[in-house]
Order: sequence, then structure tokens, then C-alpha cells
Amino acid sequence: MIVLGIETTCDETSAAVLRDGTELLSNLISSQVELHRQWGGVAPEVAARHHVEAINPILRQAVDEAGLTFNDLDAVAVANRPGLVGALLVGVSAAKALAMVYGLPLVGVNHLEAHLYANFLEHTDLEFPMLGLVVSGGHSNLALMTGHGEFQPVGHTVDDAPGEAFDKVARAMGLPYPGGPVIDKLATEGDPTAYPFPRADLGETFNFSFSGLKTALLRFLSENKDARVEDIAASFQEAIVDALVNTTVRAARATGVETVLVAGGVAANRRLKARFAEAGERNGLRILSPKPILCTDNAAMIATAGHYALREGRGDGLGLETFATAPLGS
Amino acid sequence: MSAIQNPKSKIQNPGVHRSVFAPDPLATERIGESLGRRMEPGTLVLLFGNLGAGKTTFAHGLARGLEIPTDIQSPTFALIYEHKGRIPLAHMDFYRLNAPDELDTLGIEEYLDGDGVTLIEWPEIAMDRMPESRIEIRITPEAMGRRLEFTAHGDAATLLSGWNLESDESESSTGE
Repeated sequence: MIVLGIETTCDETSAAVLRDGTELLSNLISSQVELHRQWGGVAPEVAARHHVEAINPILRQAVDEAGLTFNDLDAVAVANRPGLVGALLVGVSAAKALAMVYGLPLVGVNHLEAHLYANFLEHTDLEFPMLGLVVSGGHSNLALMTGHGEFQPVGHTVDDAPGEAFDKVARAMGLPYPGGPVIDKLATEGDPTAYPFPRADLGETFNFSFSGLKTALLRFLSENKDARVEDIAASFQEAIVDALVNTTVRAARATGVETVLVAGGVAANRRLKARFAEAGERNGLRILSPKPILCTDNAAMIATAGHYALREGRGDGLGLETFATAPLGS
Repeated sequence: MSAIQNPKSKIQNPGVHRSVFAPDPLATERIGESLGRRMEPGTLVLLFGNLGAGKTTFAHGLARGLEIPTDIQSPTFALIYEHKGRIPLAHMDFYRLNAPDELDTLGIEEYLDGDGVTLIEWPEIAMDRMPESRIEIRITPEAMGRRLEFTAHGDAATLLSGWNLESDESESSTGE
């Protein structure tokens, strides 16, 4: 089965062609990061306009690069939730047009679930149940995955997403957008124990909170003008990594899983990867995360999630809707 | 679109002003909860304050006062989150917007004309589109805590007058 995946939930326009769930024939991403860098964040109107301009060339190029024509496709998978509504509509409209013209089955995919599915592209031996952690600019979710497309929420952020905390703190520190990779890089030259920024205590829950950390850091910045920026970056990053790793390991123990999938833009953070590798070894857990290009928003993961959904007999009609909000498993 | 008015030319009722000191985040949340319990369908709340001022904490309290059973996550990324409660809450955040015309496709007028409570963080960029009747809240850090200043315009003024608030320090009508 050859699936075309389409992703336009936020600031990347992406199309990918996937054969039989693991053979990635193409994965093209038109990033708007350069465009948004001047704003210090994603500008939604700019994003929607850019998707409109980018979608047709990207679709054609994805099929060309796969060495195919649109006639060779067997199905179309598109991220229809959650995301910026104007942006989602561009991808979903394109997917519907292709489905109609070429008579292809259409399946709408949850963008958050698809992030976890990026791990299925690289590993074919994954066994349920698994725990999934999605961490990105807009999301922070822990869910128990009991089967394909079957997710039970375990935890979430009660305020800010970790990527949002990275971006806002980076902006306050005068660092460029996006904040995550910049802080990741600075932190390699810094001491993660230099400043003891607070870790939120959410008791026995598996939730996260990063708003208090952000506030503490802003206060610190205003009171310590001479502190080394590398040490601040490393200490701030460590507080986020601690919360993500400790809570995830605790949830893995509580649910009894042996495999943990980590995904989303923040999963590309090198310190997070290293700490998860360490924690996996210490706790007898197999903790996986995709390579960086599959951590960012991309259509390969949409095609993968679509592949498994279609294999399970799921599909949507041309009435497929878009949803701004949609937790894992919905 | 009746919601789009120039606020400056339309204000007729005197505004009501309140000022409260919150020594810690719990106090900020309680004040939010207390105001949330007073909310009526159609109320617009604008929440001003810099990063780290305590907007999130206040919003959590307001949501509790509206009997919203779930955590309200930051809408910075999604721009608008809707929550079901005693009265539905549309929670918006315009932090990421750079120009007023970026509001065009968000459909905020539908919320402003609707029967829910609308809470907007970082509303500065949208002020020309805000209806007259509204509560403005400004949170500023002080040495030992946070100063919360409330100003209500238009019909929303009734929500602030007669609001019994612990550690409340002032109630005044400003003639504007």
C-alpha cells in the first residue's frame, strides 16, 4: 500500500510518500522557521498564506521524488487535528481534492498520535502496551498506547508546553527563535547544576507544569544580570528534562510497560535524549525517539499513522472536518 | 458585527475600579476564582501582564470559579481553547500575533457576541476590536507579591461593584 501523507498543522508544509508502512519514498518539508524568526514566533495568518503557496509544489515534488505519479497512490492521509484552523484547512482541502480526483481512500490523522508513529517508521518490532510522551511547542502529553489508534491519557501539562517555555524564556534572554535548539546548544557549554530552578510538584499525578519555572527564570534574569548565559540555559533545560524524565519513568512503572516512545520537537533535545537513555538503562525500559528530522512536524509520520489506521479498516469520507483541539486518542 | 466598535468613542457608563494585593500565587488564584464565580454569560475579560506576572495562575482560578473541571492549558500555541463549565469559557492568547489583521481569521467576534465568558491574555493588539462592556485586569509584580487592578466598563461594571473581596483595598468609580 502506497500512502501519501500531508501535514499543515502549524508552520511546516510537508508531504511524504510511504510504501507499506516502513519504506519512506519521500519526505519533503517546507519550513517557515526563517519566515517566522523575524516575529519571534509563528504568525498564524502568515502561516496559512504560506501553506497555500507551498502545498501544490510540495505535493508534486513528493510524488516525483518517490518516482511515482498521483495515479500510483493507494490512499491519502492528512493531519486534520489539532492545529491552527486556517493552516489545517489547507492540507485537508488538498487531501480531499486528491481523494476525489483519483478515487482514493482518505483518512484523517491526529497530529499528536502521528508524532508517536514516527517511531514505527524506524522500528517494526514494537509491542503494545507502550507509553507515549509527546513534547513540542504546543503540547505535552503522556498516554498509554494499547493498540493501533488506541490511546488512554495518562498525563498532560497543566499550563505551558515545554517547547513554549523554551521559546518564551529564549525570547526573554534575547536569544533567537526557535528557542529550543538555541538553548540546547548553549547548554552544552553550561553547568546544569549552576542554578537550582524549581521543579513543580504535582503530587502523584503524571502531569507537568512549566509556567512556574518560566516565572522563576524571568525573576532570576532580572536579578542576576551577570550570570553566564550558558549556565542559565543548562540549568533551565535541566529543570524541564528532570520533570519530563522523572514523570515518564514513574508513569512507565505505574502502567507496567516495557517500551516508551518519545516524540515531538522537544524530543530532539540532546540532553533529554541522553537522560532518557540513562533512565532506560537504569529502569530496564526500552525508550525510543525518532531521529531529529522525524521529531519536527513532518508528513512521514502522518503517512505512517495513516497506514496503520487504514490497515485497521479506518477511513474518513470527503466530509472530513478539522479540529483546533484534540487530545491523544480522540 | 456589533462587537467591533471603537472603545474610546462608545464608553458612556462610568468605569468601576478595584485594586487588590496578592501576597502569593494561591491568593492570585483565589481572587481569580472569586471573580469567576461572579461571571455572567457574555462577559469579556482582558488580562494584561508581562511574562511571569501571574496571568496563568489567575486564569486557573477564574476557570475554577466557572466550574471548569479540567486543567486549562496555555492557549499561546493554539490561540483559542474552549472549555465547558457553568458558563462556557473561550480562553484566548494573542501573544504570538504581530498585526491586528491576523485576528481576521480567528472568528473572535463569534465568541464576543456569544453567551460564553471570553478571557483574552495579551489583548493589546486587539483593543480596537473589543466591545465597550468588559473587565480589564492588570497584574504587576511588586516587592512582596502581585498587584491586581480591575477596571470594568459598561454593563460589566455591575460584576465588580459589590464584589466582596478579602484584602480588597479600594473601590471607586472613575468618571472617565
